[in-house]
Amino acid sequence: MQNLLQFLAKYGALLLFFFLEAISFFWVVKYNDVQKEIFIHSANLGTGKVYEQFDRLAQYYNLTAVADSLARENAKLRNLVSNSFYGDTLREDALFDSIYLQQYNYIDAKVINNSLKQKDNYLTLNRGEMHGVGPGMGVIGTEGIVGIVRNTSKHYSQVTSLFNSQIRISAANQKTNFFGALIWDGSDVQHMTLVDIPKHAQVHKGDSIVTTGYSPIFPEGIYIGSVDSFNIEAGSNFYSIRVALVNDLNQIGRVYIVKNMMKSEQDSLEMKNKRNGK
Amino acid sequence: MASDWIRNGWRLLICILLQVLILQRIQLGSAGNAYFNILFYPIFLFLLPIRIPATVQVLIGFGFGLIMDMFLSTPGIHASASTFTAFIRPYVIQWLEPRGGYAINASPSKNDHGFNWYLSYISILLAFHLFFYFSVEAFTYVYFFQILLKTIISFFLSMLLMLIYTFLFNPR
Repeated sequence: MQNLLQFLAKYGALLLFFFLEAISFFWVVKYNDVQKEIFIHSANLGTGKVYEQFDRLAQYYNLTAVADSLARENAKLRNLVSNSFYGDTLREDALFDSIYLQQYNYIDAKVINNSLKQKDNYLTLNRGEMHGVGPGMGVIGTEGIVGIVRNTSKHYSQVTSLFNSQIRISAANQKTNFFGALIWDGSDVQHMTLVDIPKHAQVHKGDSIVTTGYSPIFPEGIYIGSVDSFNIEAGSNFYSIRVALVNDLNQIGRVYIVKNMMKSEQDSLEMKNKRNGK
Repeated sequence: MASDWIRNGWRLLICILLQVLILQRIQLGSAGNAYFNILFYPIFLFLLPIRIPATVQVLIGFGFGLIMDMFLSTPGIHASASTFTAFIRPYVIQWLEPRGGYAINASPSKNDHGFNWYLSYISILLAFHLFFYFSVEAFTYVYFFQILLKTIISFFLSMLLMLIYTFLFNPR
């Protein structure tokens, strides 16, 4: 205690001085605009220098990567120079004109909303009427199929996901060409069920299931998935085939909207037949 | 002893009023960039009795500076300068100590120690106070020479006023 008092007697004024100066400077910086600006600016000067130095150091260590990327870019540019081409281009566009009519157009789109937890699931894409998207168009991923456009707005479209009780997609066994309808039973988001395949058809585990060209929604032959298991329920004449999907809608990001240029023609023809049949 | 307190109390009042009401309005140059600033109020700190404990002096300096800050709306600037001046005052007094030492109840006045002593005493303290004050006011070393120039001009003007005060009123 005595030591403390002696210490205070000796250095009390000094300690008090520093304490009060600290308070004063705090007020100076806090309440005086000019000093505040200078204080903040000086702090920035200091930190800015640190960043600058560090950046220079980091640049030095990145030199190898930078050189590599420049070399790659050089090679790429060299490839583009005309003297590195061998002129064997075949002009085919004239042929295309008359024989191959373009039937399907693909519009690339990005999935901006995706639900998988509901009984009826939907996706939202960042393409809409503005880009030529309309209801009833198919949506495919880089692998497999994704769904069918249900509604469109100017910039967006809502897609009925495969995992929706409303969905029925015409699909066939690639080997045998027997076709049926692909539906979702609501169980899990890895599998769908192919129904309406008659029981005299041959089905093997691992058979490929692809889209048929029968509906105007998807082009023919898009690989959907493979047969996981199958059974015939008692008293039924049709298989119930469990199809393991090739794609995972949990991870879908980029998709393509399939625009069938001849859909209206096909539809109107089919409608005419129906009307005539009446 | 009691008369010391009364005398210093009056001086406190006079210093504040003179500084706030008159001297603060005497300026040359724009408000933010004045060439000088006559500071008379530190003489209150200079003329405090010699044998006050150092901690009390520092506290008085801080409180006094705070009052000036309140009047001049410069929070912290005068307080820091006054605290500094009050803190170094005992060292200056010690450094200037005459051969015989200080008498009990001596005040650092012209009467007690002679004009030469008094002049060097208030010169040293005033120079420190002004330099510290203008440094805090500028708050950056970038303007070092401007600070120095301002200190020198203000030093002579303040000094003149303090000497006039001393010869007129002969403060104890």
